Amino acid sequence: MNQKEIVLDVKGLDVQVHSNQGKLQVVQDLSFQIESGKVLGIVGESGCGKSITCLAILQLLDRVQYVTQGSIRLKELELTNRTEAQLQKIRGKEISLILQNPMNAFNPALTIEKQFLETIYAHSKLSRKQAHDQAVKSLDEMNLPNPKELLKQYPFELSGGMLQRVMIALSICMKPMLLLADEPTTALDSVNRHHVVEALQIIKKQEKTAILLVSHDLNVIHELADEVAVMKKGQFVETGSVAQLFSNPKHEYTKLLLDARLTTGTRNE
Amino acid sequence: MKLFVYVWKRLAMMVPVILGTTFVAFLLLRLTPVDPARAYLSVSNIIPTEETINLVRHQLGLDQPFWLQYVHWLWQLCHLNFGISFISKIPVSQELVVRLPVTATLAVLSLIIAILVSIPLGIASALHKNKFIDHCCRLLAFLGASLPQFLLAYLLIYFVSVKFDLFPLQGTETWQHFVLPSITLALGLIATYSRLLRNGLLESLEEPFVLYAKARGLGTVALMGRHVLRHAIRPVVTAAGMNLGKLFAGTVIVEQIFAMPGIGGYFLEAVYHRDYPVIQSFVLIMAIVFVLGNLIADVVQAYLDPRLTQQGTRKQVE
Ligand SMILES: Nc1ncnc2c1ncn2[C@@H]1O[C@H](COP(=O)(O)OP(=O)(O)OP(=O)(O)O)[C@@H](O)[C@H]1O
Ligand SMILES: [Mg+2]
Repeated sequence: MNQKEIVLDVKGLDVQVHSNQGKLQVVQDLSFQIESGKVLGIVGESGCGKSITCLAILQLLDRVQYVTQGSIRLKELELTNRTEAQLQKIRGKEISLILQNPMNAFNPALTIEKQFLETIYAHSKLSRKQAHDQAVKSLDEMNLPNPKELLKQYPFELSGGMLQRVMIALSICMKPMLLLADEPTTALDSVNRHHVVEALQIIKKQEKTAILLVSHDLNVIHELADEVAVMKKGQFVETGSVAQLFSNPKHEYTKLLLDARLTTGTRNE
Repeated sequence: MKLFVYVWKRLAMMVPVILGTTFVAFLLLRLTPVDPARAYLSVSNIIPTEETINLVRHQLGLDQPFWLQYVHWLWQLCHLNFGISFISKIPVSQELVVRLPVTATLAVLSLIIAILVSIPLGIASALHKNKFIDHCCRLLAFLGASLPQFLLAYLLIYFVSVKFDLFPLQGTETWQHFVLPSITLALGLIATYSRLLRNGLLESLEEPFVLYAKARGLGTVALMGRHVLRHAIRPVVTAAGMNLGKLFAGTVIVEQIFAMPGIGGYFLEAVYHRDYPVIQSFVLIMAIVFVLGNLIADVVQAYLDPRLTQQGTRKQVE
C-alpha cells in the first residue's frame, strides 16, 4: 500500500435507546476515521457505549429499540441506508466482529468447523474442501496448534483463551477490511491475553485491515493502538496518538484512567 | 459414538424401570377390594358361592402365593405370552396385535401433526410478537387447551364430515379414517407446543451466539434454522417425549367417538372386570411407551445439544 486509505469513516454518530424509562442518549456525536493497517483504540468505563458503537457500525442494533443517526462509511459505501440483504453480505466479510466472551459467542451445539464453514459459505462459493483448507489456513496464521483437530471440537471442549484465538482466526478468514474487536482480552488470563495481542499484531502487520480495538486494558491499547479515543458517557472526551495520550493526557478523565492503571499495575507486581 | 454409548446406557436403565412398574401394579391390583373371581362370576351370571369362588380362583391361578404369580407372569412374558383374558378367554396378545397398531398410529400421527403445525405457528408468533398473528395464536392455544376432546371431536365431525363430507367418519379402513381423530388429539398439543416454541424462540434470539451468527453475515435460513430454531425447539422435544405415553393412554374418548378398535376401550373394560392379565399388559405397554418416549426425546436432545452426552461419558471415565 503506497497510499493510506481510509477504511472506516464515522461522522456524527448518535444512538438513542427507547426503553421503558424513556429515551436515553447512549452514544453522542462520535466522529472518527481508521486507515487500513491502523488500530484505533477506544477506552472508557463500563456502560459508556463502546459495544453499542461497534454494533451500530455493523448495523446490528434493533431498529425499533435504537434510533441511530449520522454517517458510517466503509470506504465508498454508506452503511446506514443499506438493506438487510446488503448488510448480510458485508457482515462477516468486509467487517468482522470479535466479542468479549467467546464461551457464549459460539453456538455450543455446533463444532468449530461448522461455524467456520457456514461463515465461509455465506460469503463465497467455495467447495467444502476449499472452505476447510481456508479455515485451516487462518487457524494456522494465528499460530493455533493442530488446526485440523481443533476444527472437529465443540466450543465447550476448548478453553476460553483458545476460543478467543479461534474467533480471531474466524474473523480474518474472509479477509475483512475492518475488524471490530470488542474487549477481546477482558475475559482472559495474562498468558492468553498475550496470545491474543500477538494474534492481533499479526493482522496489523499485514496492513490490510483497519482495527477498532475496544478495551478496558490500557496495556493492550498501549501495545496495539496507533490512535486512542477516550470515551465517557457516550462521547469522546479526548483523542490523540498513543504516545501523546499516555505521556501527556489533557483531560481529567484520561488522567484518572491512567492513574488507575498505575495503581493496579503496581498492585499486580 | 458417544451417542451410541449413551443410548445403550439408557436402554439398560429401562429394564429396572419396567420391572419396578409392573411389580408395583401387580401389588396394587391384588390390594384392591374387588375379587376378580367374583367379577368373573357376575359377568357369567353365576351366583357367587364359597365353592364356585374357590373353583374360579384355582382356575385363574389366584390361589397361588403372590410372588409366585408375579414370577409366573414374568416367565410367560419372556416367551411373549401376555396371558389369557379372565373374561373373554381370548389371549391378550391376539387382541393387541389388532388394537395396538390403531392406537400407535393415532398417537404418532397426532404427535407429528402437532409438531409440524406448531413450528410455523411458533415462528410466526415469535416474529410478530404481541401483534395480530401472535394474539390469534394465543387465542387458538387457549381454545385448544380448554376445549374438551369430545366437544372438539363432535365439532370436527359436524363441520368436516357431515357438512362437507371431506373425511370418512368411523372405522379404521383407510388412512383418511385417521385424519379427524388425529387432529382432535393434536389440537391440544399444538396449543402447548406453539407457545413453548414461541417463548423458546424469543429467548434464543437474545442468545449471544445468535448475535455473533448475525455478525458473521449468515442468511436468514441458516440463522433461524441452525442457530435459533435448533436451540428453541428443545423444550418442545421434551414435551413431545412425555406426551407420547399420555397419548397412548388418553385415546379412549377419541376411539369411542370415531368407533376405532384401539387399546383404550379394551383396557377400560378390563378395569371394570378386574381382568388381571389385560390390566397387567396395559401397565407393561404404558411403561415401555413412557420410557421409550423419554428415551427418544433425550436422544434427539443429545443430538441438538452435544454437551449432554459429553457429560454422560465424562462421568463414566471418572
Ligand atoms: N436496551 C437498552 N435499554 C436501556 N439501556 C441500554 C440498552 N442498551 C444499552 N443501554 C445502555 O447503553 C449504555 C452503553 O452500553 P454498552 O453495552 O455500549 O456499554 P459498554 O461501554 O460496552 O460497557 P462494557 O464495558 O460494560 O461492555 C449502557 O449504559 C446501557 O445501560
Ligand atoms: Mg461492552
